[in-house]
Amino acid sequence: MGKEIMIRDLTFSYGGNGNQLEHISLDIAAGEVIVMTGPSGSGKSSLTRVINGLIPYFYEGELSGEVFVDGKPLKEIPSWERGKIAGNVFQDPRSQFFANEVAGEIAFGCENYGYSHEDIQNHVHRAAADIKIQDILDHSLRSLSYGMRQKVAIASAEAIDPEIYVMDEPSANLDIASTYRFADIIRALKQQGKTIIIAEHRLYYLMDLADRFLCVQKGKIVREFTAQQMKALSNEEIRVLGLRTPDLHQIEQAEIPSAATSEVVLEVKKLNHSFGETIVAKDVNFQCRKGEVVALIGPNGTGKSTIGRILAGLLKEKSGEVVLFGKHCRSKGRLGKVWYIPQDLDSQLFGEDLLDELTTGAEVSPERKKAAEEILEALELMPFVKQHPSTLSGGQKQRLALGVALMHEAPIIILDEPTSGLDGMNMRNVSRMIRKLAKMGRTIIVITHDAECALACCERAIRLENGCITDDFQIRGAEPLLDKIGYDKKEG
Amino acid sequence: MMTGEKKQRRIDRIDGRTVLLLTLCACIVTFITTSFWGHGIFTFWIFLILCWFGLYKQALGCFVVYLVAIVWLMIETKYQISIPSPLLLSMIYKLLLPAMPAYLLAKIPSGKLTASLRKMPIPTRIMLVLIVMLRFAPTVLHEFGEVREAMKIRGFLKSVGNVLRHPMDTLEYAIVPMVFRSLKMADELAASAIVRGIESPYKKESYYVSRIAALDYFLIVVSVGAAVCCCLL
Amino acid sequence: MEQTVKKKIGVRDIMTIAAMMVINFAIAMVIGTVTLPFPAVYLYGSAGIDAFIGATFYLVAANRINKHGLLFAWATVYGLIQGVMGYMFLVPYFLIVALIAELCMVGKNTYRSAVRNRIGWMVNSIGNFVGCAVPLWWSWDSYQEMAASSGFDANTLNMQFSMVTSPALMLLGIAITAVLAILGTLFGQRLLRKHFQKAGIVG
Repeated sequence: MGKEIMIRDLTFSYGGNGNQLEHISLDIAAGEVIVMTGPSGSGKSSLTRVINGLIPYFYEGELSGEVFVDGKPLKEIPSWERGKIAGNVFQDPRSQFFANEVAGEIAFGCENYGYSHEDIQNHVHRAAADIKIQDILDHSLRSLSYGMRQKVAIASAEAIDPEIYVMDEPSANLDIASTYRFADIIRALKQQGKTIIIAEHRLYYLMDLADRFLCVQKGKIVREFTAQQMKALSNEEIRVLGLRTPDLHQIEQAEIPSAATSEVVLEVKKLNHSFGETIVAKDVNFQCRKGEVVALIGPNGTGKSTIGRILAGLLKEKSGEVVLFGKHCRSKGRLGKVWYIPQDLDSQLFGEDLLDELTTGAEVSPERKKAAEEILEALELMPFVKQHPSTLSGGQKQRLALGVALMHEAPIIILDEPTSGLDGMNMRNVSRMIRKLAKMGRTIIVITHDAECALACCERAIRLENGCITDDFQIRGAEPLLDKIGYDKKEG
Repeated sequence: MMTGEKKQRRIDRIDGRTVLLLTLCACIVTFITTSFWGHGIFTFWIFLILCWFGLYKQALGCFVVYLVAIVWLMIETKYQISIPSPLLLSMIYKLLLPAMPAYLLAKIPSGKLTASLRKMPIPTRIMLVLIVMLRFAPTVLHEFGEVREAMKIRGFLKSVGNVLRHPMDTLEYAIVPMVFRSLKMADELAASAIVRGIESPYKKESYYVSRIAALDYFLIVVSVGAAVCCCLL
Repeated sequence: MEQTVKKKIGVRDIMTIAAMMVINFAIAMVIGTVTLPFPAVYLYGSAGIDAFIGATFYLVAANRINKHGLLFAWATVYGLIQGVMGYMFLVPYFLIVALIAELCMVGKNTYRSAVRNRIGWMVNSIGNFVGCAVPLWWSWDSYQEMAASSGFDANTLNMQFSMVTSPALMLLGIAITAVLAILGTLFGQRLLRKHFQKAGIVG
């Protein structure tokens, strides 16, 4: 059986920088599934970290109040023992793994807790069988898809038989199909009676799983909903709370007039590319017009990012042709004209403050400085201009990356999963900025499996599977798009 | 059926310490032997071992480079050519030998390597740094690629001239995002390791068997024997 | 009130060191391959260039962790990796280098002092330079022997040989390494101020 958790008057701050958590009291019953949601930086991650003991042991700061697990104060349990009570799944499937291969990763916890060799093997094989990954035990983790890696993460947590599971944005990097499979695993854990705490922005996959939804804002639990109440929230209420939509079917498509003109700026003809045996693009043909916002959708690992990088001139196509403004353009010539913004922005930012980020790399003339300031103004980044780019939030970084593209006057911009890991408010903000850029005459391709984002800013969708275009359609209403992205119809 | 019964890859059957010893033998041979034949024979032995572990391509690649370096060196000394530098060639062939078992070392599952290393007299912290470095190496290479792409898009790498005119700026552009990204990953990995009890004081066993078995004895005896013979040649 | 108190090098510090060292090694490897075809540069310059670039990563780790034993761990790991890469017999030597470098950092809060870090890093770099030169002489020996036996012109050979091993040139190499190590810490301090301290990820 799962264990109950009792939190009393919990307050935490990271070294005097204002309170992350303020006087939180919360009771979680054994076997309950709790979802904590709310804007980025609201404190929901901090709350998970208190429960798994990372606060204050790892994330330093001042903590007051008490947490009890099964009536026992958490304080009295040494930090290294806490991992036996709570199993953890984190957001980024690239950085939570310690071993290089699946078996070693699942075994990691058992090894640390002094299990004998036989016990370790038994636990690993049982956990792997539960999650149905027993046939990939000797695979390298790097060769797995993000969906598979999250399964390994769960198996690794399950191997030590914790009664509590703590998950911090586990679906942020998963496509819709993987997310549903992930939900099935959580369902199985729930049936075993485990207590599960999930901090998450995406709610749709948890609607029939969670017992309670807690809405966290500025370190406080401000609202509490049942799944029924959550579903009954109006779009307006969801927007005010800054959440993502619990039921994607209720999303209304943004009613913004298309900024597309009739001028074709990008034309892809018979594009082919492969990595070894794997075909990532097969006779891909499409056109984009000036001011158009196109969503590039399809399951993970089907070549969307590769096509984006080919268009941007970062990869050379094996065969085929890319035509920019009516002229054939080789990969070198596309650099800087087709601007690719990858998902992970930490490797993209070079400046010491926002202004420097836009102007660095060339002489800073008064005109360029003025242009940069105007761009920051347009992207609503002026209040942060003195900050170091790396201190921005995910949504702000995304906007800054758009700003860099504007500064370099790139006519075509490709964004790769710009809204993964963003809360509802930031997602809508980034989407709004994308529309704004389209209105400024930019052509924008958004690689995404985020239906909310696609509906908020894209007018057309191209669906890719195994390197082939399977669909190319104007987005009219949510249903056809959700269907093509793979959103489950049985809900709603 | 459980996977335990599944056919094991050969590399899973060898102990990490054996490979370390192989590396040590290779070092000794490369630095002590003065005869080409001795050096060559031992290299061939390592080549065979790599092949046996299924690393045909890498083994063959190394061996070909090795042979080319030696043959070229002989030609150079015979005809008194000094371009490319004979020092370079002799370094290639001397250092390639220990690099081959070192490569095998990197191919062992990290959990298994940890288990083997734990039985050696290395302080835990130092050992952890080594293991984590192995874990980070591929990630860092990947990140390098990403940063390079970002620099390309921004036009920082537009031309050789551009880079040479601002070498310090270029270096800064390369280093800064790497550091930010790596520190973030280091923190996340540390958090993930801590919540799974890496700091627990228990005596640790492993998922992998860490036992010197018949295969290990065979490799050790033959390798040490070969090393001694090759040095005496 | 629960508060975080830590003195010894912990898991997070280990990860930081590992991450910084991996980048350092990756860069050192690139430099090694680029300079390898030019033995003189490789011998006298590569350790220095390595020291120059590595300084930034070392400074990030030092300022972030600020605990004793860091430089020792850094130099030891460096030595052990050199050991696995082929210089196994040099491991004790590198341990001594690590010890001396760590001794340069005795005192309170020295890992956040620019001057002390500069000294410690310079000592470590010089140690690495001397250590890496040894195996070169080794491979040179075998060539020399072979060259002499195949009737290579003695004068050419001697000239090449003295280029590699003369004590004066060794001193020059040490000087180059020291200067580059110092320049590296200056560059690193600039990046610290400009980026890492500003962003709040190092102390």
